[in-house]
Amino acid sequence: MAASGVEAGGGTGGALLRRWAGVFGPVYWGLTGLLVVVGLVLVAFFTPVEAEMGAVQKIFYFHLPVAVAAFVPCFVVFAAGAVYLWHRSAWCDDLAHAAAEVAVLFCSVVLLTGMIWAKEAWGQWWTWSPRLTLSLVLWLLYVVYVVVRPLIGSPQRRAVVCAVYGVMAFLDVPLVYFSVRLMPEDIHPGRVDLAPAMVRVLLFWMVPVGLLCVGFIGARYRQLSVGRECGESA
Amino acid sequence: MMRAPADILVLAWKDLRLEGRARAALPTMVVGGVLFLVVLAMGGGVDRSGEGAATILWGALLVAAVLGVERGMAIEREGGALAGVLLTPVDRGVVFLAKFAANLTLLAVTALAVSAVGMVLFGLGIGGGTAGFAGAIGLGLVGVAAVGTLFAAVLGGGAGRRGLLVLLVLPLCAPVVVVSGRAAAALAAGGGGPGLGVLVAFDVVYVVGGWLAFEHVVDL
Repeated sequence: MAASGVEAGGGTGGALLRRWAGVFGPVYWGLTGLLVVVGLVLVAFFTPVEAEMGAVQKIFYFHLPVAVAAFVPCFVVFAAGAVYLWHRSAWCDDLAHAAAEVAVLFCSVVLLTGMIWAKEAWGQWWTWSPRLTLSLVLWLLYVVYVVVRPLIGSPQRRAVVCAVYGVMAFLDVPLVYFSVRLMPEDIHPGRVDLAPAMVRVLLFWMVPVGLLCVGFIGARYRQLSVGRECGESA
Repeated sequence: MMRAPADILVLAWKDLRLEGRARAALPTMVVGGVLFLVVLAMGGGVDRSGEGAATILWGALLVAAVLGVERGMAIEREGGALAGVLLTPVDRGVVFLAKFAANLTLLAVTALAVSAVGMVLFGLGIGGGTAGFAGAIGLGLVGVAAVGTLFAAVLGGGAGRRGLLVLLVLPLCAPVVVVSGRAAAALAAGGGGPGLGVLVAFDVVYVVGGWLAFEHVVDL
């Protein structure tokens, strides 16, 4: 049957990916840590304090880049799942698994920082506006991915189920992104006008957050890949 | 390829006739949906406006959908009928579309029954835009039936996999339910249906995705 038979070795793709995952060593993490510290200094001392919300507004410099970066692991789960269904390579399953865990982490941070923002800006921790609802759904989708994985005993069946699920789960991403335009009653503003200093710091934060995101995926992939070689069940 | 529509009809009709004889899934679906309504009503504080009606109805329909597709696929696996269907010289995508059509039909019947019970027992108010409300819910059902059919097949048989279907199907259906619920409420109130285009897009992607994926994921 088509559903059986996983290529255990990983082939060329697996070897390339493992070499790529080897980049995430002390130098990478040291540089990323340095950029995070610089980003924090920029937010603390080089951005104006917003008139209405005060210092709490500064969470925005972290919230938006993390929200944007959260789409990256979601896309990796989608792409790796699609490639897995095509080639049945174990490295695709490991990569999707690693990315799903990072997606949960990033979506959790987005929701938590968003709630802190919402409490200050709108006076309540949570509203059931379309974007918030769909963001919560996105978090739930990847939480379920991570929770269901170990519940399926057969490695082949687990990889197939997770690949199909990961491909379909990605559909929520464009919906989250376009929800403000598609459902105009959303409490989220369609666009935000920021002072130039704010924009610069916001753009700077995209770099360390992006590095964290890619680094987490790579490091976790390497763990899973080594675990598979040692015969661990993911 | 020319025979595909006829094959879909034959296979879907076969599933519906089997259901008519064995009554395996439909009673479970209707009773599950009505039980959901009753338990919700016993809790009190039910919002009976258009938006509340859509939310309550969707809750009941999701319960019914998961029960129905799981039961239907389990019966087909137990009797070895699925193996027989898969061994026939018919494209597996056609098998998916037939099962999807049968499940959608059962879900539509369940939706009618549960809506009627909801209106009689709880006075759920759909307002003047009944057709729009029903249309938005119906579009949502297409997506739910596609996802349910695909994952009932993907998960395969085995006691260890029971209960997983609900975990997998509910979050995947959540975007469809969110958009459909909001559109149904707006249409019931006589307004436009925000996100109906999105709903159609989701339906197309879920159905086409299921059709394409079924061959690669279904296992005996």
